[in-house]
Amino acid sequence: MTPSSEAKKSCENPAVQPSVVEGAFADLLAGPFDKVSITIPTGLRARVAERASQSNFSSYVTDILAQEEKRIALIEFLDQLDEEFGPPSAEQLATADLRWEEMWQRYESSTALS
Amino acid sequence: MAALRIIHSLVLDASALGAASDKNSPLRFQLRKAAARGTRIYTTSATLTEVLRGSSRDVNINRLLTSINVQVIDGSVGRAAGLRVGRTSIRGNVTIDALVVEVASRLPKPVAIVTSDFKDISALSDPDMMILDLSI
Repeated sequence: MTPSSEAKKSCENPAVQPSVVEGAFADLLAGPFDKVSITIPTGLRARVAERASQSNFSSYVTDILAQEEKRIALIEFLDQLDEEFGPPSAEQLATADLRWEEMWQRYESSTALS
Repeated sequence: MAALRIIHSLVLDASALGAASDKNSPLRFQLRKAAARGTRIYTTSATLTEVLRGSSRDVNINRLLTSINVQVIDGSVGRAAGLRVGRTSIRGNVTIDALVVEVASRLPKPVAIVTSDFKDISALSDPDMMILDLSI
């Protein structure tokens, strides 16, 4: 993205209503807001417009960007724990998979009964 | 063909927030897989009251909180959580558990709650919620 395409101007009322209103990202989501011009494929824009019709494009994109930033932050946090504790053993990974599988099996058997 | 086992929302209670940075807990490996699959991770503002004490133990929890969604408890959630407790025969204080479950019920499905209090959380939860038991 070129500097000119990143040209921004202050936006007083963007009607952005992020789904997350508490936590470490609260300050980032509270504003002030910038208006940013981006270039995306027409087909993708049309598809997103359908999905975001009940809110608006800005809040949809803000939510996606915030969630992606959190996802990256979570992976970085887990990387730091791995550095601190060392890489997981095969037994630890197997236990994690087993617990996950047990959760799904419990859920699937209960929903099959209901 | 087996159905794809993708969870949209994963809710951490107080025990899970602590376990995430516990060297011996499997939760951090499960969180890594969840993050890789695009699962959104949540906790509640009430849960923070249970875990944060202003001690050195808070450091890792605060690091985790920068990367997950903290859902605010409002009057609607509080009221519904109270009714949820009333529908069970649970004795004892399960206020925060009920708030966690109520928040989970309002998130996109499939949803799973991570807890070491399987008994109370399962008693409070809906049939379409999954529970990842940390107590095993």
